[in-house]
Amino acid sequence: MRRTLGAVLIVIGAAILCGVGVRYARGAYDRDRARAEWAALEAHHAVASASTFASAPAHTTYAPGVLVGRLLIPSVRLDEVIAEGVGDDQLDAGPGHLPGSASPGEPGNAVISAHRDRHFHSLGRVTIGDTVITVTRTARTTWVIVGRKVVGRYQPSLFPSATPELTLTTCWPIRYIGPAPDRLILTAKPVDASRRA
Amino acid sequence: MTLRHIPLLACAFAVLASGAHAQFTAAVVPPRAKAKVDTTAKKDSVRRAEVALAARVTDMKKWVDSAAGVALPPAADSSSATAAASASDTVAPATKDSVILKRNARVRSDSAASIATVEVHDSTGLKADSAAASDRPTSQGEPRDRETTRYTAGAPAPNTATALPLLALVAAFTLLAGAALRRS
Repeated sequence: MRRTLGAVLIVIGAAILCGVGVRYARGAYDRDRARAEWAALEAHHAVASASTFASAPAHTTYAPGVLVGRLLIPSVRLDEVIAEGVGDDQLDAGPGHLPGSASPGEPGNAVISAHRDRHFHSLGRVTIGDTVITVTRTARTTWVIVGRKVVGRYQPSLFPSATPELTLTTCWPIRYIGPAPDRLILTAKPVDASRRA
Repeated sequence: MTLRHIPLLACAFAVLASGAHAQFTAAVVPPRAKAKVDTTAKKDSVRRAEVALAARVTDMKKWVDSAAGVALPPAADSSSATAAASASDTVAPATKDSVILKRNARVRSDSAASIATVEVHDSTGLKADSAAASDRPTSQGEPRDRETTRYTAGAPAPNTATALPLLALVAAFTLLAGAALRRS
């Protein structure tokens, strides 16, 4: 009887572990694919900008799943490709740009979110004064972290801004077991921006 | 005992019987009028307590509704409210600029935990975007458990919570427990 129960538990545990592993593996695959696609876009952009003059619109909008740009935080060695949307598929592949928010570097609040157990695992170590770099098709912006706070799940935390602003969010506490109850909010202001033609 | 004693015994029985009758009568017959008054007073007090409790429950419901911001409009207003007790999902005819409140039929209508569903109709009479209604608070005074999928001013951060670490931990414990059971 005990051996049978043990076998059943092993099968159940293995099934759950396989499901979790498949989810993580799919996220890693999507992340690599996003990196490759972004590299191809960068190469294409370099060729296009050399041949024609491209004028960027005032507010760039993206279709869901489209690559928005690249996010780098040198202090914690974070280097991720940002996709449009904060659904499960987008957040599995990498940080997601919240639809409706500004594109990084453009006037307004640009909101980028990611899972704490994957792409934003090191976000808890980012402190005020750290440098953040975003690269989109239209701009390369260097930001400095000016705010760091932990808010409740339902607490309003995203606010409009007339000037360019970057907001990075993830769940908090970072090492929480189960769905985390709070959110870590990092806000950054631009210190250097260069237009990419 | 002789025949002379018989009249004396009869007198003695008569005297004792009258005394016993008086005692027996006084012991058996209760004061009925007093007991009747007590029962009536008790019924009145119970009825008053029930009325007070009903009034208090009604006041609590009003207070909960007002605290949640779900104010039922007066009858003259264009807004309409359907009763909670109706189990069917019939919706009252929508008028322009109307707000229709539907109560969840599965929840007791007199319960403070009853959930109000809000449908917003615009001036064209068509049902408005559900996102407009989702920003309204629930009766618990807390935003609905909806994920922020689009940027709006004052919105909470997107839901990045995941249960994968918990699932991995549960799977590991299950595997270890199974292995331990098989080994024993």
